[in-house]
Amino acid sequence: MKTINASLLLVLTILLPRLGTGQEVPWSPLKRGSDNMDVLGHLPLGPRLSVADMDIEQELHRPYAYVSRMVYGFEGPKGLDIISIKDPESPELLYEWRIEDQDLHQRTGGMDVKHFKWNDRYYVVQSLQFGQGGPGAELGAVILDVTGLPDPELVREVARIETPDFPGGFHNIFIYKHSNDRVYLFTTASAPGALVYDLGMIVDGDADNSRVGMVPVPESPLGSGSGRGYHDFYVGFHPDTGEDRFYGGGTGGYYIYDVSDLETPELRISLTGVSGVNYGHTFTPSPDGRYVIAETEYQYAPLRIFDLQPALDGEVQNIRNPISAFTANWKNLVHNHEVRWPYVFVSGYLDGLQIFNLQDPENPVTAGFYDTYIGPPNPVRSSMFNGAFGVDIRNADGLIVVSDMSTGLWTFRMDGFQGWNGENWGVPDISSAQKWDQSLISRPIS
Amino acid sequence: MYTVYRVAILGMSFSLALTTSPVTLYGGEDEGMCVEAGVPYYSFQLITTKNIPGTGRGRGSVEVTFSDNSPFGISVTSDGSYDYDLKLSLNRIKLRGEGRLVAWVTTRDLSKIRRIGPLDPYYQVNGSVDWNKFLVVVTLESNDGGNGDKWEGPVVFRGMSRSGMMHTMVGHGLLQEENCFAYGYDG
Amino acid sequence: MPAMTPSNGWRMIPMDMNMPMLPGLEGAVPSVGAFLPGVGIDLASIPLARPSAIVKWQRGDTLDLSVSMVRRSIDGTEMLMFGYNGQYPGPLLDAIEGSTVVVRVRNEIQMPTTIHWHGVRLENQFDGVPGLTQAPIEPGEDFIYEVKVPDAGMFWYHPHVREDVQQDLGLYGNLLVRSPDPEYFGPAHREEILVVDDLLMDGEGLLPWGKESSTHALMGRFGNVMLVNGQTDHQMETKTGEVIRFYITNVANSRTFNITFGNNRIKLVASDIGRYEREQWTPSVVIAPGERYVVDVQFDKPGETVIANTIQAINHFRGEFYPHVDTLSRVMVSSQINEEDLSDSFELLRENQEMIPEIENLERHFTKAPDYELETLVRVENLPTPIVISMESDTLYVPPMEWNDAMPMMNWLSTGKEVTWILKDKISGLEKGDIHWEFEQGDIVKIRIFNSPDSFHPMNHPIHLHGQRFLVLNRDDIQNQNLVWKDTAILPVGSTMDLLVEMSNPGEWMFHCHIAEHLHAGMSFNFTVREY
Repeated sequence: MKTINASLLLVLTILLPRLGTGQEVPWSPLKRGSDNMDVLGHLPLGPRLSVADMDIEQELHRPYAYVSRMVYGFEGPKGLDIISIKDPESPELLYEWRIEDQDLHQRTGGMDVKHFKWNDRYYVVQSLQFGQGGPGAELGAVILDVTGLPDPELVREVARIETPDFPGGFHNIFIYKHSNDRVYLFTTASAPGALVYDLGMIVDGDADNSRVGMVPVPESPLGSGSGRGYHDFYVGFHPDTGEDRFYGGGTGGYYIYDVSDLETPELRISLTGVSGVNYGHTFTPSPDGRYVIAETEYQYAPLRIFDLQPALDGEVQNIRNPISAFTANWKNLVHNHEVRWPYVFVSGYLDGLQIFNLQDPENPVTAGFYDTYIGPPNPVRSSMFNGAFGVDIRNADGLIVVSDMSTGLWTFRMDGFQGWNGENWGVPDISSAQKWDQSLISRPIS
Repeated sequence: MYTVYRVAILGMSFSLALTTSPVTLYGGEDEGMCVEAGVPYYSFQLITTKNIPGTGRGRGSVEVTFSDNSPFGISVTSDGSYDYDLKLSLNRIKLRGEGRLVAWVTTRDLSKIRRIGPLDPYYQVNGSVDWNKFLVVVTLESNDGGNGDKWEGPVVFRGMSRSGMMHTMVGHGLLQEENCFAYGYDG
Repeated sequence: MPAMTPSNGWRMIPMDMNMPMLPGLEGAVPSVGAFLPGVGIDLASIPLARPSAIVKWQRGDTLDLSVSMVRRSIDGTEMLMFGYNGQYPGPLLDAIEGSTVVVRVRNEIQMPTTIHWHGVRLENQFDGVPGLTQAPIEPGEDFIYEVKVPDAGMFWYHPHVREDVQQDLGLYGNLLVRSPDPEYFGPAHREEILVVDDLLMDGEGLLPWGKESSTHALMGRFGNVMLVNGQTDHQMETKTGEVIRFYITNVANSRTFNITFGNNRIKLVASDIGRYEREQWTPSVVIAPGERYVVDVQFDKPGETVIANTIQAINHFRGEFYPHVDTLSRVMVSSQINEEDLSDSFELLRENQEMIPEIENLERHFTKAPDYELETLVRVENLPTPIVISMESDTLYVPPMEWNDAMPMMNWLSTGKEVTWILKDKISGLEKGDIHWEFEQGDIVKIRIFNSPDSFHPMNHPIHLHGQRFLVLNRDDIQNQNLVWKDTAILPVGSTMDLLVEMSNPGEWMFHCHIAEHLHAGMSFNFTVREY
């Protein structure tokens, strides 16, 4: 009996520490990044949980990062920071825009930010969300003219977008240069669809008529989105069909619409009935529109990768089954992502920056990582929502920039990634980076 | 026998739990609906902004009652808006230096602002409001300041009327709970 | 939106169709049968209702009062309703304080009824409460009431059997008891009666009531058509400068009104059972079901004045207050000036000298601890799940008053089978009919009532006591500065009200909420005053 008990004890001693701990992650506080990741710079930005999404300009002569500032914890500013990454190793805060009467605006503040160019001037759109109990509940976004950067004195507010019919602000935005050469803002709202604004009209002074459409959320068994229909989206050109396509995650799953004609968006493909998905979040296609990477914002959810080919071929309209998935750490979840095929750059919340390679879409492979946040999960509100919030890539030189909710702005380089052009990888040169000075559709000159 | 008896009691309890019809009692229970138990329902807290040294640990409250000159069970204006008396008080603050705290009441969107007045040496002041949703703001003004249409000094405390929690369901649907933390200033 | 089809006699209630339907409630109807009066009866055979007549009561008079079916046209729709003596509202009984009149009631409708003399401190056996003071008057039967009116004031009479149905169908009338003192009120050019009510109807007529049990048990049956003295187009004419004394009675099932008289000043002079200690100006008149108020208004500018119900309604979907005005009456003020100028007396705020010693005698009771404490609660069982989820989700704020029916579908579907409203004795823990207080005649009793906001659906309640009169001493620890004897008082959500009740009238009496649907959902108990 004693011998058996000793053996059992030995086995248990070996096994017990491993039982329930699951997969180990390769990063730790003392070794935060993979060997191929180079931290160039880091700029702390204030209280924990006060940094949201970010956006960087693509043109090298305009090295600016725009970082949304919010209060997700207990303190922080509400607005926008403009940071120079002229020297990526020394990011420098150039300008702060703050909502007036900050102390009275309730809840979040700046959530998402995107820039655009119109008539040779540069603008940034900062989405805002304030609680209905205080001022600003109807305010969705503020637009600043940033043409004069780096001189902060030349930054000026030019417009605000308000939606009294849909109070609660804009949670996520996307700016897209349409095939008709207009520049549109797609935004989430507390509405059964994504609102679409013509930004040119706004900055040209015709804001009253600038809401030009809404991309609806279709009916689903979970409803048609009488609440917040979409949570996030991407809009891009689909070369094979010549359509401007909207990829949205929202109530019921994910939806792909043809938004070539903004007055009558047409549903092309849906991804509903996906096991574990009742509300989609970030949703991005590969440059050719065949594969999509879909995020669902709950703990333990992986990024799901779908192959849209059966739908593109017209065999089906709804796709339910992913072909693969990526997770950095099964205990957590990831947030946003940027696709620079075959790489997918992920802001992975508690697990920081994660990069995986989708060369084989059925087998995503981790290509790099850096844990920007080594603190604990949140003791209040959602435990998972801390760490890397937003990520963006400068195509010209491959600069990777991450906004971390608590640790601020980070700049990185990854070995072997010195820039991105889709054509170098055999795919269209299409990403979230817009080409302001080029038309999407080149017409022959007769 | 003792062991058997205990199991039998447990078994009976379990089966009773299974057969009891689902009667739900709502009332007299502290459901902790975003307000401390025992606090009058429409009263609310004043939350420090921590902008001013000596106020970071401060607390405040606004007691909300119907205007006492109403002969009816409730006081409303001619347009039907509730007419409230407000009693503000702050504690746990140590203000040093120049300046005085002045209280204001404002509509939710700051479109209308009314001055309540300076707080007394006990950090109290009374006022009134006839807006259905409102914010109370306490600012630090110069010794003879804070007499205009709007405050000039920094916001030291602020609070939201309970009615400010009445929110649109457009954003979250009719069957989804909105949590208390989405409203007000108390994090 | 799918077409609604009749189901078990029900039709969809009128609703703002911009508000999304709660998922899961499409096509739902209440869990009780639908009731409309006079099914199978040829409407044309029913006599047309006549306007209310004034019956001057003399001591020792006998009045015959029939309870019968009448035909009414409201907003162009003819429908079968009920009326006293074929009138709508019932006849205005004009009596002198202290007189006794015998009222012989004949029931000519197809359901049992009684008459309760609201606010009158009459003999208990004539109080009109079935099962407590009398058996119901069955169809075809008579009952004789001896109505002694010891107090001056404006009272009213109505059934106490399925009030939600019978009262709503038009069984109400006023009993004006005048003081013999010609100086009781200040001078006025004339008097007008305003009986305010609402009715729930659509293009087809009245929306059915619940047969076995009330519908609208959560918030009470709010109507969508406003009535004044039974009319949707009530009007009156005055001359410039005229001072009119309005006797206002709220006979609605559930709606509290906030009555304004345009820009004209309103002088509040009396309420349920007598005059205020001091007349006072008021911007509007807030009147709950069962209450009465007497106000003087001087119309000092020619033109049209609208008497309106002016509220801040709630849009629950958008979480907003929004102004809403219902026209109740139009007053055409001619440019002709009334020769008798009462402006000076109108400006004067009189003190009620009789009240002062009365109050002084009672002051020693004002600060005593309450003798009894009540709490208002609600219990629900088997409500449709979407309603329960929705109401459990939307709990962050409950307004002090429900001025409008902000959730009509959910309200309609809640019946007395699923909803129980409770008055709970906080000291004994007993609830509803299990409570039975006992007093000696002459006791002065302080009762504290708290409208708990921690309830599934807290709501304001007009609290009514039979047979006695009370003072509202304070609300939320704030002493009432201007007392008046009442029998009905509003208790908003979250509020605490202290009543000082003069238990002067022996017998078995009811204590209940005067929202008809709440009453029939259990919100009552009885108390005894023993004769010395």
